[in-house]
Amino acid sequence: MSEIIRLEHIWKRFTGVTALSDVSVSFSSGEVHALVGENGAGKSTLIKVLLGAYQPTEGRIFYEGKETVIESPRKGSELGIEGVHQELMLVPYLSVSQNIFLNREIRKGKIFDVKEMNRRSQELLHDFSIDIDVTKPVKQYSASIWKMIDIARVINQNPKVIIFDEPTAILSEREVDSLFSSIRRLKEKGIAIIYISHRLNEIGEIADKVTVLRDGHHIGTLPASELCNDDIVKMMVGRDVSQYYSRSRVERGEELIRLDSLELKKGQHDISLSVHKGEIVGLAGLVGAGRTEVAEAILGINPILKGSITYKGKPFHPASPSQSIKKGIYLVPENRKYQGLILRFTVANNIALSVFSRWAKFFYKGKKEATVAENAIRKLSIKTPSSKQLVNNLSGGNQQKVVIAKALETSAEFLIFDEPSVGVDVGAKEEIHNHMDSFVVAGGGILMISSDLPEVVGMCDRVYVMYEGRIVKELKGDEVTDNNIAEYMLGSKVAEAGI
Amino acid sequence: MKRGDIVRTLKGFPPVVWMLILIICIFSFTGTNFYSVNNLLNIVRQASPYLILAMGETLAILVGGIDLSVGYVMGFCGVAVAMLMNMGLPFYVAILIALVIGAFCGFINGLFVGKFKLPYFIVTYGTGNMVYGLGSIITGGVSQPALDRGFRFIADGTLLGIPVVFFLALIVFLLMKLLIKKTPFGRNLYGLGGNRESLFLSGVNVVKAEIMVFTVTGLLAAIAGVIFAARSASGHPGFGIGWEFDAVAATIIGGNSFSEGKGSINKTVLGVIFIQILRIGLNISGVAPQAQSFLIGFIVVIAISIDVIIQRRK
Amino acid sequence: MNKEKAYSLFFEKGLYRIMILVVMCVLLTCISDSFLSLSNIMNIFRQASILLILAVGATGTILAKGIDLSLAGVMSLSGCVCGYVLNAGYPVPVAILAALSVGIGFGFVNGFLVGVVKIPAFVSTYGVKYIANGLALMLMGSNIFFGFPESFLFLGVGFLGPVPVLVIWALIITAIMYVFLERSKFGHQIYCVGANSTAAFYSGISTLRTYFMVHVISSTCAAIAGILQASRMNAAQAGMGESFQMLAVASIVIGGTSMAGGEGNVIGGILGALILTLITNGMNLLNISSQAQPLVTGAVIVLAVFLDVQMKHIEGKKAVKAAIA
Repeated sequence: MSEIIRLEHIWKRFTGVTALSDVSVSFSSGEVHALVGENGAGKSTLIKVLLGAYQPTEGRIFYEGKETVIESPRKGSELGIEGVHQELMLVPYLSVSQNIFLNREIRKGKIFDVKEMNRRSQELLHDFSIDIDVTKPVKQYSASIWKMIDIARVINQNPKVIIFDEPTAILSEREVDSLFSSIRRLKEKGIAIIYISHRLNEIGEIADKVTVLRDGHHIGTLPASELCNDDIVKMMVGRDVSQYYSRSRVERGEELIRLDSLELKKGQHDISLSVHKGEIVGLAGLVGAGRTEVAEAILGINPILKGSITYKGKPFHPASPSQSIKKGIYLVPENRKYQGLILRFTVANNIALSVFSRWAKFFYKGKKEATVAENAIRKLSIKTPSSKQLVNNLSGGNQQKVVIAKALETSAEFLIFDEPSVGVDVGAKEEIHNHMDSFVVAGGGILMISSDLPEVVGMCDRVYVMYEGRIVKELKGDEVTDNNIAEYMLGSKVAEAGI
Repeated sequence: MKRGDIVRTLKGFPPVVWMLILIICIFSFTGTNFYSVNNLLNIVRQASPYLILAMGETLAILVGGIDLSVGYVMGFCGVAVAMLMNMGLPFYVAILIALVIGAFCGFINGLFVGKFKLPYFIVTYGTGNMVYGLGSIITGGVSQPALDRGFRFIADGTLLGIPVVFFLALIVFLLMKLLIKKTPFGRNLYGLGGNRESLFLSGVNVVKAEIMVFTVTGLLAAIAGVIFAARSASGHPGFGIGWEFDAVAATIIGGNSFSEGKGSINKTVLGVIFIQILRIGLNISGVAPQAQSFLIGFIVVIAISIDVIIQRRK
Repeated sequence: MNKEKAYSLFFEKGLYRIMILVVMCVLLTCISDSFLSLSNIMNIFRQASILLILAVGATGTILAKGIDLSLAGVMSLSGCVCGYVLNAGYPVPVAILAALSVGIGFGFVNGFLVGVVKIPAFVSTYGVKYIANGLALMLMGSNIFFGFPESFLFLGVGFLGPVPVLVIWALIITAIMYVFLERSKFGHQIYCVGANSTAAFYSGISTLRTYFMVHVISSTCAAIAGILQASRMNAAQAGMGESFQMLAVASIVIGGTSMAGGEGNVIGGILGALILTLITNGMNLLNISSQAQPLVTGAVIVLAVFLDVQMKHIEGKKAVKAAIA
């Protein structure tokens, strides 16, 4: 294994922030090198420096032994460095094959050789056991197929270095397996692989080496075989975080909400569940199983075709979020930057977003907003220089706390959390879980949607599992285990039991 | 099995097809001679420059923007071609220069929105008015005659009994198809509208790509302007006022969308045919000119509403 | 610290627009003797008044990340309805009421198309403009109605002491809009919806009501402008508002209200309207042909947006430099 890229004393500074300070690390061919760290630790910046999307403020990069300036993604690509990005890097209304050959088209004279590109794309995807019509726009296909197309696109360019940025976030277990086997194939071909993931178990499975970043500093690089998950977490956070979930014992109270065989859009039916005061109820399932749709139906965002909802003993017909919120229901949405926050507004504006209209008949109370926000910032220990800071400048975890503060200000009794800890670092994750716990201790009820199985198992009293638009199982007490949930959400138990 | 296929194909039709069938049915009752050869040729003649303009607008909309200057650019290029011919230049040279002027206007728009990142809407509004003002100053607000016979042939001439403008529109359409399907232009077009970041990361110069798109939009507006000037045998800076709305309306009614680069110029053709048949149909149905303006606005708003609602259902 | 504050006031809060205004006044005073005459200043204020009413009215639509391209059409139609009703011999209040209800009605139509059907505002309001203009044409043909009663003319040309009534209208409406947009919770809701309508909706702000609100306000102000214009000109005809469309939108944008939504203010719009009126006035004083007017206005719009975007860019760069140093 030979070294291919070496970074020496890389610094990167932005407006008021130092994203990377004095990072030196090297990557070798034929090796899977995992890069871990909390959100905001500098992983994304480091990748962007490698890809040529950012220029380091200071420091030197050596590529194949020679000092190199990667001044643009184009240059990076010419050198043989390619990335599979976290966001879906495809053009929705271009065909699958045109996406795979984006800016690397095969040409016949001046014009594109579409037939040849289609043929090659078909072959390439076949390696991932995906057989789709490559002449159709990618928009038609699901997010996980997009990811695989994106990966095929990158591999097609025969790079020497591939950077995977959280590739498995939206993949099913089977797809993860097929991805890992192709990563191993690439490794054997002598390609250097840089792998970023929040899922520590995956790192143990696939990585040869692990580099940990914290607050832009390089904490250490060690062989994966010498590290266990607890060590990595300790290095990432810089302190001991109990990897365990702590829940207070709460007496289950009266029923808060009950959904009776709801039918939402096509293919989503038989949705029945209940949440009592004092409990956290999980809603597990794959991405696309219909979990978010259930949450949005309760809020009145999506229409309910059939079935009924009972809230606090009375029939409830959700019409709009504003009405549901008045009744004490609140959704902490999945996409916090888009659905949860106004990024261009201040922390105070955001915390008061759902309540400022309640304070007066006509006037907007700026001063009251500031006081309320100051209190919430203290109560939830949101890390921000002041309540006047723009939310955009906060880290993922603190942004999520702002959303939670926003929810708590409405004095809601029933909270729905949709993926509460996605994009949240380990430390903040624990704090968010504590807030959820104290909310139910105070007599509220929570419905939590999550793809993070340890989180579901650790936090929930009961769990409903959704599979292809239906709730197929309710798991209680001892039944709530990783294995049980996984089997139902992947559908294997469902077929067996003939549900 | 077969019946299911037919139903599915019918359901797959964009709403504009149904609306088109509807208005054709209505006009075949209300308008005498709706199906006459003369009327059909009339539709073709009028639709041709309009289609060329609307295709340009579609490009701007597909990249997630809009170009409100096309109507004014069109008028200005008509003025330019007329004045250049009056200065004694042969008509083809005049046309060539007019096309260059149009492309240059588009280039300037592209520079503002692509390089300086100014909002599409307001900038093209501004540049459009600048071009209009410039045209007004040059002409003193007086219409410029364009009587060159060779030049008039573009609008009046026929080949095999079919107007030359039809062939012009067809050629432009086919060239645009080729450009979009098989060259980097098309890839950039959909990439800019659909996922600018990935286009950039795959090494495309997105600023240049966007300037290119707007330049082509300007060029197409110029072609439309030249044809229009040939038809009316004159150029006036105000000739194109309002055409930008028709171009945007045709693009949207055809089923193109402002987001994600969803759409194609095929759809625009349908939108153009819809609006053109609407205009001519109202005319031959004897609707008073005052009421036409109202009815067209009304029907276009309804048509766009229907399209938007149906697209959302899907 | 003080320097920083001044800098922020100057660029971020857009105080440089006042500077531009002052410089323009000084220049015009130097160039033209008649600029500072009482009659010219009155003229400027009167010209600015109608534009101001339109601009502050439509500010809400742009704050909500939309636009109102129908305001000139609605203005024309309202003016025509007002003139038509007056000519038919009805009393002044009836005419005004009729014109106002046209405005409110069109506001609801725009709100419906933008909020319920969800057509982008610049497409739907553009279409509505044709409807309004078409209706005005159907009502009036190519006629000009004139010779309105004295009591009606007072609204547009009368004086209260030394102050033109028209200017008082403009001041009242501007003050109302200032309080509404920048001091009321409804105004704050408009900013929120403009900045991120999805987050506002999920947080319980009624986006639908917001869209209706901004469009009804905009169209009502357009109707008021139409009434006042009819009174001021003592005439009503189809298309009478057309020239105001671009000026109104330009005032708002020159005033620093962002097309991206959720950012901007009423004061900026006032300054924008004054700057544009001064340009027109200056061109008249200098005997520049009216044909050049679209060129100048267009150039000012482009320049204003350009400066605005560049200013923000420079701010960003300065912040980076400060962070590194």
